Amino acid sequence: MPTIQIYFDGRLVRTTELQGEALRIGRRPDNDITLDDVAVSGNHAILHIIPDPIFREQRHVEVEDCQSTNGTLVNGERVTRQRLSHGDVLRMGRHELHFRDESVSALEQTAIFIAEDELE
Amino acid sequence: MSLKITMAGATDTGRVRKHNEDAIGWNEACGLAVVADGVGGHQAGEVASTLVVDHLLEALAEAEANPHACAEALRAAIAEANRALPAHARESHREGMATTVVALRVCGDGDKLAVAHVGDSRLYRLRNGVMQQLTVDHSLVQELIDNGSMTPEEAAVSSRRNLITRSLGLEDEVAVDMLLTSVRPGDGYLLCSDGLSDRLTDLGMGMMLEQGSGGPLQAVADKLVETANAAGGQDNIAVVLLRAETDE
Repeated sequence: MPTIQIYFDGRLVRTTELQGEALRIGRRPDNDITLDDVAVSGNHAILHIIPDPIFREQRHVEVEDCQSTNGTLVNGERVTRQRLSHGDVLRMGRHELHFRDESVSALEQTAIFIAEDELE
Repeated sequence: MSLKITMAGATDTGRVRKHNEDAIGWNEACGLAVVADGVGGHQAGEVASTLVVDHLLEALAEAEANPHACAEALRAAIAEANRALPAHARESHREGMATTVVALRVCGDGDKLAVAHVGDSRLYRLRNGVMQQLTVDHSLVQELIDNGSMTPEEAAVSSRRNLITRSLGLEDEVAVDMLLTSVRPGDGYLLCSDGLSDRLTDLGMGMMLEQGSGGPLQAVADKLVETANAAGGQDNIAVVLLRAETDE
């Protein structure tokens, strides 16, 4: 599952798994991720978690800037909406968000399921 | 209306497993297609799946136009294979070997299909751009979907989705799910093991079948396997495809 690690002044303050359809980020407390930072807008950005139409289990994440005052930067460049890759660094105000997505599925193998009441 | 059915298939070990326990077979002349996904260590799985595919190809080598006779012979051949498996397992010291199966026979005037399945190997139909799963898995997650405790979306990514509740080779009698369906010109059919349907969405498989409809069917089968491998190839991959066209 993709995660973001949130750093403030170079210090890791929080790690969040990206679940559901979208996560709202901003200074106001009604966001999914609240950043206590005067340089962050009330509603700053949204992380969209989008299931892949072709590959099962796979999803990608896009960041959308909500017309924030100071902008959303991905690897140093200001973006309006952009797909994220593993290792991307987002900057919002004095916060840095490190995007990690190392989705490797466990070994899968067909196995027989026997209900407990069938076992003697 | 008489229909012409073409077939193609491909199977691969995938990127993670050491052995290919899936087996496929088809006979275009008699209108038979089979996919089996074997279970059991020490190569027992591949013995079981191959035995079932070979048995069906041998027992059903003659076409049968009457849909009910066609379906009944298919069911009977699967029941025979189920009974033959334990003896074969004992002889080769591979007790506990089992397999899924999904098989279909073309009947009528090429306009009907008799379908049989046990386990979580599937049949899909692509018709008018819509990909639809025609078989219902015999699996734990399917039971959880049926009793309302899991959504299909949750099931598709569940860590328990590999557990099947019905298979060939473990009991004397097996309930084989049967289906009789009509074929229309332009239809595409896809039989597969979970190594394909776990990696690609129904939409993804349907799109590839649709996009390949102008070219050779074998190229589509190869592309599906290649794409499942590119998506991880965590399990063995098996696919057999059918295409129905008006016979000119």
